[in-house]
Amino acid sequence: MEFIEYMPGVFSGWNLVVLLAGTLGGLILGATPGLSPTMAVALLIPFTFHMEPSTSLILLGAVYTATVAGGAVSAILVNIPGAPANIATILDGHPMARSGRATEALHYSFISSLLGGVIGVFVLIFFTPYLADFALNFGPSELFWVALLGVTVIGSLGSNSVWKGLFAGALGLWLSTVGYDPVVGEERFVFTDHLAGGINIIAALIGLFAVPQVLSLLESATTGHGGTMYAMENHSVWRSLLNNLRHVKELVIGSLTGIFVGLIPGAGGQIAGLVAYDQAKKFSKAKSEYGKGNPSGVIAAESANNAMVGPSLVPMLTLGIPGSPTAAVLLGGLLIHGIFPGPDLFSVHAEITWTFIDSLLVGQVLMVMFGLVMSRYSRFVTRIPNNFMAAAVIVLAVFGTYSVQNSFSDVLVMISLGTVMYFGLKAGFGPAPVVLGIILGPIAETNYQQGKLIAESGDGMLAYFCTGNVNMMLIGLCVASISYSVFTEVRTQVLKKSEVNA
Amino acid sequence: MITQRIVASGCVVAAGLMYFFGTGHEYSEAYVFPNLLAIVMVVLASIMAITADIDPKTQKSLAISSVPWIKLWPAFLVIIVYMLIAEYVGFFVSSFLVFVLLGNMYSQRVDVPFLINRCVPIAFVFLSLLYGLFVLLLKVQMPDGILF
Repeated sequence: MEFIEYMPGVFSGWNLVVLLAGTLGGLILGATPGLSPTMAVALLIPFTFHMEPSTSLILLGAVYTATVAGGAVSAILVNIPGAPANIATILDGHPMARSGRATEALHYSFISSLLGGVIGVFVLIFFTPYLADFALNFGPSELFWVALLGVTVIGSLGSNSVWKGLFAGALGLWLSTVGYDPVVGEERFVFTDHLAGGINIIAALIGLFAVPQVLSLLESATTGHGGTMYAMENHSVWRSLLNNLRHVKELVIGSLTGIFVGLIPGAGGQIAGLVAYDQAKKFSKAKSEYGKGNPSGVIAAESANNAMVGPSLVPMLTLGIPGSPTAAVLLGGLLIHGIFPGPDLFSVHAEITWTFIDSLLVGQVLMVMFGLVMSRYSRFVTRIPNNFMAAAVIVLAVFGTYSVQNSFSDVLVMISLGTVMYFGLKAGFGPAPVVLGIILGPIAETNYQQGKLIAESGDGMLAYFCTGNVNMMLIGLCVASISYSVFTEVRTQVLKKSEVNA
Repeated sequence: MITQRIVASGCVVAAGLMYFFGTGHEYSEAYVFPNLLAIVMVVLASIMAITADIDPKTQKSLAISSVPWIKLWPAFLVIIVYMLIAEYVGFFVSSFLVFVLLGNMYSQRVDVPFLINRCVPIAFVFLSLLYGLFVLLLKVQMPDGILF
């Protein structure tokens, strides 16, 4: 059992320090309205550039896990989700706070996050090596389709409009071609010296997530957060733990939902939380109590959004297809250290990979310990003014981007991409498909060109790229995700039209 | 809505320009992949334009949000000036000014005591933390410029 063999690595030297700091920092960042887990992880990547690969992955993983759990603080206390994954937590968490049970609600959210999160990490531990072995069968054509599948799934399933999502994904792929062609070495689309080295992944990650967030924070800065803060009562942790464990049905529903949603590339914690809440309500004998401060709602939602974390890394670590937008950013963190998803992770980089996975397990325990202590002081974190938050994020984004290659060109690219993305968000485009396109673009193009060379000496492009069981399965998945999203979008529009005309 | 079609048309034009910049080069094989992508984007943008529903009653959830220009133009100006001066003035001084300006301009209180008692000390502490993190810990050489 490799995950036991590499466990001591989590507690050695800087790894433990970084895990502790990442968990605590992640909880604080997650509790702050306006800072999403994706943005927090993106901003951290420049720091990890200077670290050892295992230490850097531990930090990113700890922040990912903790921000998802910490987002419940803001959701419960202020009725504003700290992360999209905590939207469902508001439905019963905030009513609990209104009725003087804020501390109890926070206890349930952290304990449920621990239980769901641990189950999710074990899914990661047991599924990933098998899927990685399966990926050994992949050649250039299969890897090309895998890269395209990643962009297609996030573009079609992770966006409000399937066409806008796919367009954004294709744009990301195109942006990745700026710079030098990987085979011929020809300079492409270098309209200014600042683009001579291509678009740096970290500059793109930070720009696409952080800059729009800064501008959104400034939009609402002068009007304040909104939401009313409620007082924190004294409540025994042990009583909360015992009560939480009595809600077995909600914990099982939440965990299973989170696992299933996490394994689907492109879906994220928001979907996991909402689906789990909905299912827990459906299977409840007291449906009418949901939405009025029922602990079951908090338990189902929070166990789901943390159970999603581990499985969302399964397709990312094995095939390079992120299971969530934050996992897409984590993929960028892997690539900057020269570590590529696939079977090599569990053979050549076994120590790094298993130490990272073990840190996710240990991180769940630390998250609940810090979270339960932090519950008492949460009110201060949720009240950081938007103007200072925005100022801090833009300065941090500039420093972080510059620190990667000591290049001011990267900073200019970051600001430019981010500003365009802000307008894109207003028009309904999302950053996740663009980021994934930029990350997976080189993989798609390199394998396309290698496959083309093989195909030209064989049966031709169509035969090489479109035949074979794995190719057909991957093409089928691409078509299925697009078809499903188009069908859902058309059905929603037809239903809306009939409602309006009724 | 008409604006959905305008956005989609803009995407068609942008994708067309991407294809245009990828043609007429000596090493055309280097542009095969990006040109394929540009063609795909033209097709996707065309579908967006065709399927843009012009019935406003069904479009609320897909409506394009307006940009609050009046509120945000100072922020855009500050960011542009930041980019122009950071390398020459120095990262820390320019960042300090940006932090103080944004912190003050977008606060719910805009007065001199707030500026002096809140914005300046918070900016100073934050930049000190960044100095410790980037320069001392990560040993990154930040541009000094003419100041710091």
